[in-house]
Amino acid sequence: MNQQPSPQLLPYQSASLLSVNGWRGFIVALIVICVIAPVSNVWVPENSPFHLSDYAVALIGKIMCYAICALAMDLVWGIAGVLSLGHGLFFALGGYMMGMYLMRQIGRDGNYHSDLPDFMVFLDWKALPWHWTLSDSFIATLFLIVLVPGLLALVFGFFAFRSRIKGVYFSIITQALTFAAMLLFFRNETGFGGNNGFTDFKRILNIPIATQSMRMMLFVLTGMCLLGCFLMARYIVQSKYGRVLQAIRDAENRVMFCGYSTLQYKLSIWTLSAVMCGVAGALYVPQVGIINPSEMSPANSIEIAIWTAVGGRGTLIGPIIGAFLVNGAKSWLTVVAPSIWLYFLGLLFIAVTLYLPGGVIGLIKKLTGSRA
Amino acid sequence: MGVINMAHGELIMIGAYSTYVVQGLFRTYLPDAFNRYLLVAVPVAFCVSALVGAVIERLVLRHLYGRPLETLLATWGISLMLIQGVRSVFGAQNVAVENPAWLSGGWQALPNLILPYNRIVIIVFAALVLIGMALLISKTRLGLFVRGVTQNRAIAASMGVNTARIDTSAFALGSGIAGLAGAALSQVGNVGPDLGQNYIVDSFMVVVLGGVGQLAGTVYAALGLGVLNKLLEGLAGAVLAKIAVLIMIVIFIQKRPQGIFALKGRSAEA
Repeated sequence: MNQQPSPQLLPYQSASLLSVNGWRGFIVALIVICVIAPVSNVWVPENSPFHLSDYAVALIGKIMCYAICALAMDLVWGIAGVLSLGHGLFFALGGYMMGMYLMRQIGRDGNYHSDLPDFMVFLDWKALPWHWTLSDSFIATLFLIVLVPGLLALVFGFFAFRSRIKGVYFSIITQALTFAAMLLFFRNETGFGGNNGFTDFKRILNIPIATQSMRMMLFVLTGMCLLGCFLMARYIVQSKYGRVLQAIRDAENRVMFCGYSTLQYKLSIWTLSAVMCGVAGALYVPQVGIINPSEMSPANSIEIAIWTAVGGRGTLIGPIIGAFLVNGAKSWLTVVAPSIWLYFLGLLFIAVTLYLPGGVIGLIKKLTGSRA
Repeated sequence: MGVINMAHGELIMIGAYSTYVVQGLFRTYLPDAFNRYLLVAVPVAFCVSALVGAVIERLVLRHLYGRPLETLLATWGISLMLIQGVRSVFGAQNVAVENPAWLSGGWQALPNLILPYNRIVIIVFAALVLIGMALLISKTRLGLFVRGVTQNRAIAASMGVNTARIDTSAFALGSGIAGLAGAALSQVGNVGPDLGQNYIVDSFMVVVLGGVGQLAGTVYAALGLGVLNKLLEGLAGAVLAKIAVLIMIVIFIQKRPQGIFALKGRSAEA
């Protein structure tokens, strides 16, 4: 498949991680997330105009998880030129790992007052299946959140990239992978709660999960994770490694003829991106309170791609903005006019690919006429 | 053409819904001729889907040739809009398409084996469409142009072929065939707005396995995958069979990245 390299501007060349204005924005974002949001949610009285409602906290927290996904997608798609339609799978896997731990934390408070999670009692299972062995330890869960999506991505990516599956073929194969995983997780025998998934979480680290302060903790944690991922992505893009990745995006064969083994580059960024998605999923589940196999549906993975495209791929900040814009519009429109949402999303897909290949960031750049 | 059409499943759905509409019209206005509604429904399904396909091509895909990833996203958007459109017009529930009398019942092949007529007719119908398609591509002027444009667009254009028009007709033709599939499916399965979603992953798998742009490869891959899937279903259940098939495809792609019937060539950008 002869893929036209898209002529895109390289990100700016400054030696420091961010420009001065970039750092200012970063610090502002950090302060907003870590100080202003908690204060205005917890301590500002409810009728004050500066109060941040619980609903807003939940919504923004959720969108920040999505933004991490979009950022991960930008690393593989925008920087390395590999469009994955399977990132929803890694997101859901991270979520499931966290969900297993949270299910164990329910303890005997479930409907059946058993040591086993409710759905297992319901299915008349007597003992935990083998893959639940580590789920009662928080530390092990943290490792699993990184390892499971990472290993899956590593193995799958190795076979896919080794046989030089490129472009659309890779996208389709990743989509098939998520689809297969979704079917697998829908089954009760898999031991992941079937189509109900996990829900009804009570506490995390023995602290009740539904309190306002716990929600705020998770919110701040997610925000810091997002900012950290952004800095890391920024560092990657500016390093030599990132330059090679961009070269692979623009002309893979030429990079290969220059003596680089593109397999390692693509595989490593792909795995890293999967791990980021897994972490995002793990942060998402305690905030939303449910995880089920529909998170793995191919449609979700494609939506991640559209957040990235709306914001502007290859820009790192763009996908974060895109995730906020699209999901903000989604939660607004599904309340105001539910039937319009799908039309809007469809139009967005078409409009962005036809008229806004650079996304929102590209539009802003065009309007202000600056190159940075 | 370098287009990945995620909306193809929705074109199948549109074909099925056109059959439903034709059936409704016959029931209201021509109840005597109800048994023959399929004869009208098939060409109508073809035309409606082909028309929708032509509009999609003209409005959207035209600007995206040679950029498969973008077409993938844009057509996914189109498919969302088509699904929601059908949902607003016909409602979210499945609609009932009735078999005409001559398609119900079956042929008693063995004492304990009845082959239903509707399925036999669909098999014959699929074979006819396939033969027609093969003839169209290999014998007619349009087919010649389509092959020419696929092989080398620039040369075809300089020979005086109106490539833009060929693109539209080729896409409309493909869409029309999807519509025919929809008309056939409406006789055996449920007709609902989500109809097309079920087929999209399968059909891409078939194309990946068979090799892009290979009609024969596609047919063998479709038959092979279908049979394999059904055989494994008997052994391991529907879901595990599907997963096993997907894994096999991923492994198979390792050996033959370009599909079973890959064209031999020396291009580095295969």
